[in-house]
Amino acid sequence: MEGQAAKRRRVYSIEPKKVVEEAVFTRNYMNYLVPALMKIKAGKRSSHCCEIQNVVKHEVDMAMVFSAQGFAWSNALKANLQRYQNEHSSSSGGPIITSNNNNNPSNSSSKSIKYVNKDIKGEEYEDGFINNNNNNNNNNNNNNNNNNNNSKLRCLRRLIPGGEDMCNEQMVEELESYISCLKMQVNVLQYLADKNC
Amino acid sequence: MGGHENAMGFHHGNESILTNNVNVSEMDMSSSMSLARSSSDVVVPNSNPFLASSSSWDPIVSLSQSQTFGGSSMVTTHNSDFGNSSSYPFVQYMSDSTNLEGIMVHKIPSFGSGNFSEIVGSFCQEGSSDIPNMGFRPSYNHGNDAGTERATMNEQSQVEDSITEDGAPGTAPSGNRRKRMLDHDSSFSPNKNAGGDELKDSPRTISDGAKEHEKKAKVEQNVSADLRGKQPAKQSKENSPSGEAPKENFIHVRARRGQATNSHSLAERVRREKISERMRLLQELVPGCNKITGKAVMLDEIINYVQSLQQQVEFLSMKLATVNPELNFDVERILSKEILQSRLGHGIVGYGVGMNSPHPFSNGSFQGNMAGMPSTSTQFPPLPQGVLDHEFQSLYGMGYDPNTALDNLGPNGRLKTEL
Repeated sequence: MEGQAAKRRRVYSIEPKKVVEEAVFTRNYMNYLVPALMKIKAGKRSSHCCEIQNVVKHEVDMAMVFSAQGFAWSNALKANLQRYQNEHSSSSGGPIITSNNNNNPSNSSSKSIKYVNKDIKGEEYEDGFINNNNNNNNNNNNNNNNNNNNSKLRCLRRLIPGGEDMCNEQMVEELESYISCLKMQVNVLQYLADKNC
Repeated sequence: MGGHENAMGFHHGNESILTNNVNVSEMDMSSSMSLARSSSDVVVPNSNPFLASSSSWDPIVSLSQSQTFGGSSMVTTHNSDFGNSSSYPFVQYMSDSTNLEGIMVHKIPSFGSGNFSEIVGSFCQEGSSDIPNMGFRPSYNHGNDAGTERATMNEQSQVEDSITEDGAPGTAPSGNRRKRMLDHDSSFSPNKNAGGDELKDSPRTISDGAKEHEKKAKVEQNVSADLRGKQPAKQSKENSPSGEAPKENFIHVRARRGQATNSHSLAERVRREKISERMRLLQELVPGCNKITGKAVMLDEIINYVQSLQQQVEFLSMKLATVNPELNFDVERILSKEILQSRLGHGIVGYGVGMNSPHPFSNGSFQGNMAGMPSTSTQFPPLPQGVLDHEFQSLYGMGYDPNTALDNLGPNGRLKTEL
């Protein structure tokens, strides 16, 4: 994207200092996800397992969105999900059926749309990092440090949903809530997954 | 005799001063502090006509809280005047002394706590006569502890305005751009020290004309106020006539000694410092980052952590998708809150530990066809925390031991939850 910095505007959270509480988040998350899962399971027989995975992933992300509202990243995530759903709901009556195979032929079906480029980004990041690191070792330049940091910030920006639109400052703020929500989400999912052994 | 009284008063106040000195010096790293401190012994009795008749420091305290700088009337030596006069007592006095402003900056917050002697002493020592520099926030929020905040120098609009209007022509010198930010809780509350602890947000930037004294440019980390209406205020000047609305929009930044005073670089620095502040907060979120002090390393850690969390989410969602559900969630929902709250601590620990030793929490544990799974399963910690009792055990003081946890794995390699 050219001119990213110029286009990047601040996407303020509504309450900038909002803290997501664990109990609230967990409860909301479970409340959303469990019925969705049950519904998925009910219709499970007819679908391919890959689609189910995507659907589940979709629901997982939606649960995240609903559990942590008011953050820029959650709004962006919601937009992503809705866009994804719009793209794929038109293909057939059911949710995401064949589009998965079209979109991710090479990837293992474990990757959803949102995270599909993660490996690539990781590689880019690593290459950039290694190069910059070498430069750092050689020159120990302030410029190189900045470049290094900037590349990392770019990676972070890709990681966080909606990060493309954020400036650095805001992204770091959003990261706090995003990381804590991710942690809580992992816990919930872990619990659910273990429970359903 | 006045001198005698003065000595008495001085000594009486001295103890508090000394203690306050300690506080102040901890908070303010400026050199002038030490300077003042060293001079505190010397100061008062000789040089301060104002103290001649004052036998206690109290009026000064009250004075500092309510007065504005820039007033020019000489303070009389009466106690009542100290309390009542609307001008800063040392204005006239300062004409003799030199480099006031930096001292003013430092001392002001402590002023209310009775570091009178310091200020006076510094007045004695310094040479310049920049009286108008005391157009500098005399009214501090002395609810704070002594010297905690130079930050408390602040942001009452009317004070601000008066100061800026009076003060500063001589002192708003050349390149020092100021970005103003006034605290948005600008209630001017001249609290006495005894009033208690209304602690301001700590580093508050000072818009000051002087450049000589190195103080850290403390960025107002009042981010919320900043965000609310940030106009990147590259305004060097005295801001708004009304002072109400713009108060929240500007950040007072002071150029550090030897640094560029260009507004752009100031803005840049403000931004960078904000980011660093946030990074520090993130350190607590990301496990294992407490000892990291470098921004680059910190960023790496954050990136890795976020990526691993996202991978975990995907992994678990896939697991959920394929596992045959025993979805009796009504009961669990009630319990889940406690479970997850207790789990959270372990989630973090387990993550950190598990990453180093990926346990074979793999194929055998899954029911259903998860052909693609094993490749991903080794990437992140198994988080063997499904057992409630084990969890609580380790939660309550036994320390988390992943090996033990895995020993408790059931035949499927999965911990059975017992409810």
